[in-house]
Amino acid sequence: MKLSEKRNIVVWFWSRLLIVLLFLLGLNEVYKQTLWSSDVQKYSRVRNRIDSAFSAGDVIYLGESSNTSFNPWTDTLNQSIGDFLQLYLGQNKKVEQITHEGYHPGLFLEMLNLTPDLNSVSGSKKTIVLGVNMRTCGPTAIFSGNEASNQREALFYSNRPPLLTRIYMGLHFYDNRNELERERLKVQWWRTRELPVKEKTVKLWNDKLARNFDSSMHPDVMHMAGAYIKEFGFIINDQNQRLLDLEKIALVCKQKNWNLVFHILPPNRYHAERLFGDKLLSIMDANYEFLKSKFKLWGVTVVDNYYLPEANQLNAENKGTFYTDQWYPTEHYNSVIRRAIAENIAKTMLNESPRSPNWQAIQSRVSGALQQNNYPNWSIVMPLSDSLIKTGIQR
Amino acid sequence: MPQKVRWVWMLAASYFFYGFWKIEFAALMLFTSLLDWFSARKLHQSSVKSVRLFWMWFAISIDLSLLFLFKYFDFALGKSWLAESMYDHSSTAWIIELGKYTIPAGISFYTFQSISYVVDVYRGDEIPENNPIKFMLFVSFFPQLVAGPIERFGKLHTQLFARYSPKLEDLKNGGRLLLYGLFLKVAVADNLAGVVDQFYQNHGNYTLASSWLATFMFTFQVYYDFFGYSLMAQGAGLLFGIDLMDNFNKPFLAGSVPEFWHRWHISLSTWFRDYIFIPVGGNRSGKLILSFSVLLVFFTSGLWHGANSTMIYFGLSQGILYLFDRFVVGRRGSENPYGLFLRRLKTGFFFMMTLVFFRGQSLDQSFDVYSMLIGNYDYTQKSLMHLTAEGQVWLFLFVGFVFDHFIMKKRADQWFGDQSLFLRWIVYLFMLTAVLLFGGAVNHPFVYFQF
Repeated sequence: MKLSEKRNIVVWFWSRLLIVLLFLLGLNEVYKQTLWSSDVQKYSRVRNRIDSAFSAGDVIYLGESSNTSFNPWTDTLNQSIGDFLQLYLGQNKKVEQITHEGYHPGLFLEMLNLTPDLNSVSGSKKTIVLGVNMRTCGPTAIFSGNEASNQREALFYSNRPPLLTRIYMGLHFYDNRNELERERLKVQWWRTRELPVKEKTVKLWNDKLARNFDSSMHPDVMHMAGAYIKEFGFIINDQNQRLLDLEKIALVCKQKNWNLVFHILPPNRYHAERLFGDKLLSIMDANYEFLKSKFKLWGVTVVDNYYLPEANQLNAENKGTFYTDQWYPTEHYNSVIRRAIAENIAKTMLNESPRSPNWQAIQSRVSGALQQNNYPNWSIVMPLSDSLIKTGIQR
Repeated sequence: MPQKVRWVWMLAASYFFYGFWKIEFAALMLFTSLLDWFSARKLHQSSVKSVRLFWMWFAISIDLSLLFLFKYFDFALGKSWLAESMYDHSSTAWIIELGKYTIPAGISFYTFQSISYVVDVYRGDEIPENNPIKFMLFVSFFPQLVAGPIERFGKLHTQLFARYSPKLEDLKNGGRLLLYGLFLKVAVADNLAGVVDQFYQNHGNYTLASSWLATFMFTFQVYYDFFGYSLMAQGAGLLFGIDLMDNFNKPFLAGSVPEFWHRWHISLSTWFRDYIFIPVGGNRSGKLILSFSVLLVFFTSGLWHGANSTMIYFGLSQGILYLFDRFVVGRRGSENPYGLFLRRLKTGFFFMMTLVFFRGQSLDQSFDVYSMLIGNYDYTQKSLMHLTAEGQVWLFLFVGFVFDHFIMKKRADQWFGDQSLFLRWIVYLFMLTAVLLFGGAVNHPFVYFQF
């Protein structure tokens, strides 16, 4: 190549690059002033909440759908766990909630990274309360079809120039594996990851279930049983993606000098037991013990609600009905459990014993504030799966 | 970069690009390359026709078997006893899983490109490459690897190894093509995809007008998605001094279906012409053979587009319309401007209608949409939704179409080059703004990546 040609190329390249860079700088400003806020509203469901929640709140409740689940059949109260927590903590501590269905520790971590090291508005340390859903560590949640849109949303949890975020979104510069690829990974997990049961894997277990299905069983129960195996049939280990995210959350909170409370959401052990006896429960319980030991190791305050529905003596015959989804394993609770969870979190945060006069006063204040019967109306018949699975299925 | 290592660098970049996604699939491409290189050399070394035929068919059959395994296995087996029992055994379950969920990107493109080399050597049109590693570059050259254009050995191979020193003109044209292609893909096609997807996710709940709007928009989504990619492939190629072929030539100006396929996905159409249509009989052996050849080509083309019965319907319906235009419509109306306009409208309309099969997830959905389009649907049953497209979607579609079909007598890069600096940069910055601020937010991988 001739020297003059080389010089031409260099001059051409750098001059164009400079023009484009200047243009991008200007465009960033224009974008910030015009389209940015509508894009945030359109593509990031909680981005606008983050700044306000973290600057105004003493307690930040980070949750997924379990926070706000509401059973229109029986619930007389529709307060979220965070709302109940606010009632228990009183007006001296402002509880702010950031909640959306399908959110998981990976997204919460991005949010926490985004926020500056703010001190509490009332002078005390900020407290992060995070609901830990065991199923979030399983393949169904990790390879969920919603994950691409979650990851796109997470692009907005950043302080980078708005234009860059828009470019990342437009050019899909995030974990944008499509649903089919995620489905493949999920199925692969079910086929290859070993379980401490006779059937060895979720796939073989599910196959056996299908083979043993006969006409005396209700097809919906069969479907439900399959879902329970797929949702809870996994073993959490040290490499679990969500566990690593939780550990990073613990680290970030430590660095920012924030209190961190993990409260373990109770899975529907009742139906799991009815369907499979101890077989599935032993896996669930092992995961629970593993998580709890890790949280202790990281020095996180743990509110253990794992056995809460069973420990709750209310209407012992209908424990399964605490869960608003009767045909699928979810952590959606009616107000009895939502309130009880909040109560336990508050008790731990305030370091109160149940019998202390202070706590008794709080209890009566909360009951007074609610001014309603906080118990479900049992006379309404829910479409319960309960009666159908009383005899259990093939174990 | 020294001339001697330039091609090595391009090869490494190509394999890195492909293997980055899944290293196993890079190994598959390597296998295909070595197999075809070896077979072509073997057949070239022999003067016995049966031996030469053996090596050609040996290569083609293994190439097509691999294509079948990775692309059509799941479709062919469905929920058969064989599929079930293979999935029940841990040693074979991965094959079913692979077939069901993953297709190596661009496998149809590079397989066809590699097959064309073997056939060309068999026919004596090409002299085989001695160096297997150089041949690997012909199969894997990254700008056109995953979605074409399907290049012929004679054209691409010569350029890959020719002496080349970077030229300012190539950089300019390459950059323009990259930007223009990006604009068509990200600002036009992806925005159209957002509207079309809304309809197809819930097609039964939309009005009659909405079903027409979605069908209309999908036509341009597919076009600008693939045309945009092809331009970017050409642009990236030019940065290395490689001139890849034009894959589109204003297809909506075609007056007939046969002409349309001379203007749409040209590299695939010419591949089918040279390696299936003409060998089977082409248009020199009477109407019956011609009809058979056309239907065979379009059936194969449909199947090539995807392992789904909807794609076979798409291909066959295009084949039938091709024959209809050829035997019934003929050249009627092509002499006057009004007639020509109507012919173009008809051709575009034919294409648009057959694309319902292309887009439908299943035959049931496709036929449902056809029922909606002809009003054979109870629109009074429930409150129906209206499909709408935001202003910028229409603007970009309009700009893309006008640029592409009416203003430019030349290809985009050449037209841009002829304009004044001011006008040129106005257009560049408009396209850049459209890409950066209005790129479709939902991820829509290139439609042709799956083929």
